[in-house]
Amino acid sequence: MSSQDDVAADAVRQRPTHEKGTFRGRLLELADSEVFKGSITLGPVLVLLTVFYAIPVVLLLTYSVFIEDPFSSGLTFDHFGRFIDMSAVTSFQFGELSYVRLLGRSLGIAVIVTVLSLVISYPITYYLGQYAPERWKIVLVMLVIIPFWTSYLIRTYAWIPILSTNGFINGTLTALGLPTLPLLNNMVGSIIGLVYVFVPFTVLPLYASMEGLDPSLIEASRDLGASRWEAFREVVFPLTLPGALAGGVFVFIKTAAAYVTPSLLGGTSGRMYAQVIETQFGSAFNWNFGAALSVILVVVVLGTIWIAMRWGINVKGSRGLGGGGL
Amino acid sequence: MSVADGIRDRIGSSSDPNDGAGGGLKLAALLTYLFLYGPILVVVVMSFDAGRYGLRWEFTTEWYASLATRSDLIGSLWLSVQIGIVVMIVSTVLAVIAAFGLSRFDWPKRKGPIATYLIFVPLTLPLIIYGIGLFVFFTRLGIGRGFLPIVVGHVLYALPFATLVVGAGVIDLDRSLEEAAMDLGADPLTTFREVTLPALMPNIVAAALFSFTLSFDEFLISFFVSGSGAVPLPVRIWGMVRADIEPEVYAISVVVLAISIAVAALATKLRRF
Repeated sequence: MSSQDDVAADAVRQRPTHEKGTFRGRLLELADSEVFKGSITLGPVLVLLTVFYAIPVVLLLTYSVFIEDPFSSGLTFDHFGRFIDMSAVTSFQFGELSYVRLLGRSLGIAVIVTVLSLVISYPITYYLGQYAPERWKIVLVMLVIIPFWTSYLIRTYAWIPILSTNGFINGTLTALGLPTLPLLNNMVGSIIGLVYVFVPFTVLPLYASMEGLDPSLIEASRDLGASRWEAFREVVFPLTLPGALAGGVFVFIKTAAAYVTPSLLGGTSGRMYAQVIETQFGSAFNWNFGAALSVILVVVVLGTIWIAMRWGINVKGSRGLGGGGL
Repeated sequence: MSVADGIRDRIGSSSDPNDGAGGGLKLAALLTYLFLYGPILVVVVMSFDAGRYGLRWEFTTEWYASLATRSDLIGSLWLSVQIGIVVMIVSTVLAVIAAFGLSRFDWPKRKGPIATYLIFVPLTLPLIIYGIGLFVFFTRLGIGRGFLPIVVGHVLYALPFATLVVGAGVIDLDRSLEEAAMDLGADPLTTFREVTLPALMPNIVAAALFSFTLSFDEFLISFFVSGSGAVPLPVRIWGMVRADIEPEVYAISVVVLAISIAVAALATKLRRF
């Protein structure tokens, strides 16, 4: 942001605007100091973030190391002990580590959902970035972004009449004389719903990469005899992968913490980790254990981002691109 | 593949750009749009269905008619609109201030990035953790659940997005306009009011609209901090879906989708790519 020109320009313009001695003049002079400008612009926001974001989250997490109420009861690591049952570990009864298994399954689902999102994102972004007619492009991109900003709750439960036993897909299969498929209230339901709500996280950064890709590179490879597939594999794919991975990291961390989609579409066999956290606060009233489970989820999420950044994935580059709602 | 094949391929593709891979990609893109909009279409179709889940679909508008009699749903819709408007105003004002703070001033080394990270942490941590954290926080304060915790949660949730949208405008802003105004004798406040704000207006309006839809559609935070007195529409819809006995759920969902798609479309159009 800073440049010598700016400094020079500041020096030139400051003189005529400050009427020395008047209240307004002194106010404007004060307003010119960098510290003042910084604290008055970011100050209120940082105070709000601290009071209404950091303190609530940290307060929740501190419950994990106390027997009951934070700071008025003793410290304990029992809540984490309940997550990793050491007696089961030492006796090699890994099947009894139900919370660890649930976390493992959630992360497994997150990997599947991330891969599927990337697979779905490549063709449409390749089309939008390289083939779409110029005058339709903005409308076509908008059409991808808009669902991202509309109720994910409604868009998720919309899958119930599509996937259920007598829903649209199975109704069609029955009409064709084919056997019905179990698509709802299991892991398949969770995965379909999660890909659906999170796919824009990979589409948007990948589109940015595809847009920025110089078409002459593809042409050059084709001129040198590469088939379309070879051109994609050797030129397009490596050049756009960074954008795709940045979005993939977001799909992974969002899926690992998913609550709404598995609750509506996953049933018992598609149950995911965040649902157990909610249970501790909603019906089990075990805040301390719920907080311990939350700490583990936060560690997983931050750890994923840390590893991704170590691998050179530009996580920040894709942050919040285009959307929200999740 | 031989060179001759390559040349033939080239000639073929340049004479008709939409054949081969182009056509295949077009089909894939079409299927992706079907995937994105199919479920939304299903909600609309179901909202006009007389019998539910039946194989035979019969047209009816009775669910829309019965919406008018559901004072609980109308109350929740109105509450969600009110919360959305308050959140929109607060988070947009904060976003304008924060966007300038982040992109305009020379920060001492490292403090700039730290401030940036702090504002964007809410985008990375799981929303469910924040929702529960707010619930615990307001319970401990003795405030409990209701309007205020929902508004606070939604403002903090919408703020990073709004800041990004306004920030993009601040970075793109042509500073020579402001410098010209100052050279012509305008003081910083006048310059901001007469030059900077109008130039940023599309981004500010887009940020406001995005903040509104984010709040209007937000479920998870509301789920943890809304109480019996103040139930926003998404939480009400969640209850209807879980209970699975109220066919009006599709009709009210169409109303919600219509509002949020209209607002999101307008915001996306205003926001510069």
